[in-house]
Amino acid sequence: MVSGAMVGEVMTTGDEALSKRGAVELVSVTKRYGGTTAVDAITLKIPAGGYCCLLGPSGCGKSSTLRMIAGHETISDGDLIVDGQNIGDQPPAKRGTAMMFQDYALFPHLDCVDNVAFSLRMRGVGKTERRAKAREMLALVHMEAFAQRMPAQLSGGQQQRIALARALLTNPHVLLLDEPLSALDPFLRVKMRAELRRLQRELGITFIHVTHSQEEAMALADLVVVMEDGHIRQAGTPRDVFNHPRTPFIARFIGGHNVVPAKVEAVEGGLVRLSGPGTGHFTVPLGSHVPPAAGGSMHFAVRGDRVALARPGVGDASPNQLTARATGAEYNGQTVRLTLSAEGLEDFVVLMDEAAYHADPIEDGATVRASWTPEVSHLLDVQ
Amino acid sequence: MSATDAIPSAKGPKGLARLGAEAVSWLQAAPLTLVLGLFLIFPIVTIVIVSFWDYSEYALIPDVILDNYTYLLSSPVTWSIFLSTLGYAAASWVLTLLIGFTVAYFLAFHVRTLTWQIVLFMVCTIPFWTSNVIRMISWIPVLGRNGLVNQGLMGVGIIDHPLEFLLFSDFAVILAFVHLYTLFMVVPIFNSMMRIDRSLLEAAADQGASAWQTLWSVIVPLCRPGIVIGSIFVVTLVMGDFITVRLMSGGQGASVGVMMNNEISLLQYPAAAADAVVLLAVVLLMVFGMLKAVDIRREL
Repeated sequence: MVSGAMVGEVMTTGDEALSKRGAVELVSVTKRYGGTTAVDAITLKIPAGGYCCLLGPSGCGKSSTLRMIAGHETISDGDLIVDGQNIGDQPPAKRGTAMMFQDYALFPHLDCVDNVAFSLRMRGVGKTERRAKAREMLALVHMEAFAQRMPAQLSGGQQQRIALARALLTNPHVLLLDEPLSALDPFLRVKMRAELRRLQRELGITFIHVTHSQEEAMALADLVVVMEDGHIRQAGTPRDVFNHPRTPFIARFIGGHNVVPAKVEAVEGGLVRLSGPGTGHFTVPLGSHVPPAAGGSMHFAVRGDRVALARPGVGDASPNQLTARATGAEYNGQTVRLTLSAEGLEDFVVLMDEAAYHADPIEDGATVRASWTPEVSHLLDVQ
Repeated sequence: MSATDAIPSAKGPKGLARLGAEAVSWLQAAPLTLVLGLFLIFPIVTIVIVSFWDYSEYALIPDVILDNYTYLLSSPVTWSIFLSTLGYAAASWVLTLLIGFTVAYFLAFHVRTLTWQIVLFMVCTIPFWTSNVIRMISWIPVLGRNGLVNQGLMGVGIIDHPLEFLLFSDFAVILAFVHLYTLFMVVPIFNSMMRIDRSLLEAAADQGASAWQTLWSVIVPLCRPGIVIGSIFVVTLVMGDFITVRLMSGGQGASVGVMMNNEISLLQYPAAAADAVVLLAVVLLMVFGMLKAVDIRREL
């Protein structure tokens, strides 16, 4: 119902590019708490109508960044621009943003309709009108049937829908979501994920979503922003970030990659030859990197699902070979996660097709030879 | 306790074990029953019984008469005394609520560290280190004819002669009540406030609520249990008081407590008992009304 009305509203503005709302730009935004810097001069452009995930471990500054955009945290330094307006000094409600809180922050003394209608009540909209509007919004999140319930009578997923409806009723250009799915069980999480994506597309507004789950970020985002230690370490499409994590930290955090420390021996054409750990010799594409000096140490990343395993002695001409000992196999359903360890290298993870693994299981302690083609590996920056 | 006690007896026949467990339960309930029976039920029952007795100048006469109640309910004097007591209660309630809420708000939302909250709370309790009577008497040099306030005001030149209403007046009575009982309002309201999830305040701001709107639409509704508990404390304490009214009004003010005290000194115990029963009923009605208005179970 409302979704139709909203889409209609968007359509009438004509130009599709103009109809998208909520372009967000952070210009060297900094947050300091006393002597510590939680967010250090980050600069980021989020296109209007985009889905951006701020991804990182706890304490990386992603929540502080979100709260600064929302206006619940003052910006120590830098500019925040939404749809061409510098809104860094505006109160939360004047920014065109709305926030969905991690624990949903529903008012426990109000029923669902009044929770959703809260912003209208604050603006002095009459009871009948605001309740009607709230009901329409409840319909958008499929919660009409629960209109009269109190928040305490709802499950986590239902509370979340109410919180979503409440945030959307303010007609924001940017919706800010603080770990919205972390309190849900895995099944519901996947379902809610799809719903968030659907709503975002329908409303044509920007969603900025804070999460520590790379899986969630991959599934939802147009733009994944990986943060560490108050800095943005990498920003790009999910495919870009997953296939080409820039640093060892990102490669480890995003998962699916093995980070191998090695010593540069030579640069030949587009390839870098490296040695170690142990007796391994590797060839990694140079890519767009500045050719490293011979003798320097570097890290490179190898996709765990692109590594072939063989018993030692079986002939293989692959230029990248690593002899290692199997230390554990974990059954994950579609895949088996096999952990190898070699001298100077802990936890080299190989993802194997579960049928292939069980056709020839590798017992713990067995020596195996991992090999891969140069294309599935890439060099990593130090930072 | 019952589990460990029941273990040895469980070795015996089953019936005996059950009897043992039952006896343990009775024993566990007994101390509280005894205390409540002896110090609450028994005195109240005695008062109710005595309120139906007859009396003369020098004797109490066991009887079942309604004279005490008829006199009490038909006399304009008792009605006006009950009204003035209700007036003290209402004024003290409004003032303690306003001050108590403000203090609790400051402690809960503006004092950021737990250490400072504890320190400031201790400061609030300092008046309780001395007795009620001493705290009241110490108002006299402050409010008296030549007290600090009058001298100060005259010194500054705001007034020419001392303000008479400061001491031995309704003003003084209410001032003393507010002084004595505001902390009883602060503590439960503070407790309610500390349970408010801080993200609710941010959510309210996010929804466009001003500071006042947040206060009225979020904080006050969520503090209702604390407000009711504090109100019960203040209203019951003020309704039953006689010493504050006597001291601070200089014997001019009247309250049910003062009236009972006078009757007791004239040995009119049955009349005092009837007053007590009516007062108890009124206070219970007030408490019941407050509990009806707000569900405080959440808070307990």
